[in-house]
Amino acid sequence: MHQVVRERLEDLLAGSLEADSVAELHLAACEECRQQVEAFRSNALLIRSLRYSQEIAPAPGFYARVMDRIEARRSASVWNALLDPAFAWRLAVGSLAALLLIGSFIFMREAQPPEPAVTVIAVQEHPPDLGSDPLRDRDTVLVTLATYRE
Amino acid sequence: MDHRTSDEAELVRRVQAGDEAAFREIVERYQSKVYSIIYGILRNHNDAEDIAQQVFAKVYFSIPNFDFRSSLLTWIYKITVNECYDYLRKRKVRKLVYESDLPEDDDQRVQLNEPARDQSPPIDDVVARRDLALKLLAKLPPEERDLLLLKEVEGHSVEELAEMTGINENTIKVKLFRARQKLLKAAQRMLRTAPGVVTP
Repeated sequence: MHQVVRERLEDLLAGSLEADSVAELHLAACEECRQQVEAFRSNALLIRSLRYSQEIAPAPGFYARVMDRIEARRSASVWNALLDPAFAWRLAVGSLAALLLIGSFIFMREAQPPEPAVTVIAVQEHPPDLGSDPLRDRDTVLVTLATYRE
Repeated sequence: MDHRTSDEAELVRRVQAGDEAAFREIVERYQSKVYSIIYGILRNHNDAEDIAQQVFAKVYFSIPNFDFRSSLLTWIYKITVNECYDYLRKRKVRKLVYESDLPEDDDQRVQLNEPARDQSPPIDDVVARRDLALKLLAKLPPEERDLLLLKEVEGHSVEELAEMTGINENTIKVKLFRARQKLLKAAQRMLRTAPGVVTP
């Protein structure tokens, strides 16, 4: 559709353009634009079939019925919320995501190689000379233990 | 237009502050409008009553989030049309053209075996055209659908739409053009897949 028609399409469909307007003159000469405008016009008429000219009022007491509905919705229990498909779906997705997070955390933890056990090795700078005299050996061991520092 | 300064905005602020009398005023001011929009789409009084109640309940619970970007009526209009389409989706878009499904005034004509009123197209055609219009509009995104309905069904001009929605006129025109193009494509697709369908 050419720009000149496109810009005035709403006016053309509303029939509010003068016959000698630029858009109307273009339509008279351009078959392609004329066909498209015609197709748009018949669709507009189709939508207008939903028009209902009279304004109808609901039956008396409408406000009270609206308030009843509001009250019913207000007092709906948590169980109703759980039964609501949209909420249940969100809950299920949320739970699944939480499970995946926890599962992957546990898996990652277990997959790590175990850290070597820390062993304290007491290294003596000058190992005592043991084995010659049991009584002296006992004293040496006691002294070693008493003076042991990490 | 600034939608924060109208008397409608004052009413909204009172509802937002918890004033139930203000809410009652909104219901009484717009109940006929809402009811007529729904009846225009569904042509059934029971459905219109039920959905109109639902619309105002939604207005009540959502009005704390109303941001004054559009007029209150435009906002209510959008809720109304969305509720109608939710309802139609749940009903899987009603089948044509059973007598029980006819609009009530047409239904009466059928029962009395009256001919169609002067100049009016046959009942089957009217119902089928409305059904086709609803089906095609269902293919559009809600914003474009609302704009087309406000333009063609409610008869608002582009200038009025700009004022009501807070969107500038050129953008409204672009959105309407896109909506019309999508509608046309949907109609052509429908005709290809179901050649017997009523043509626009």
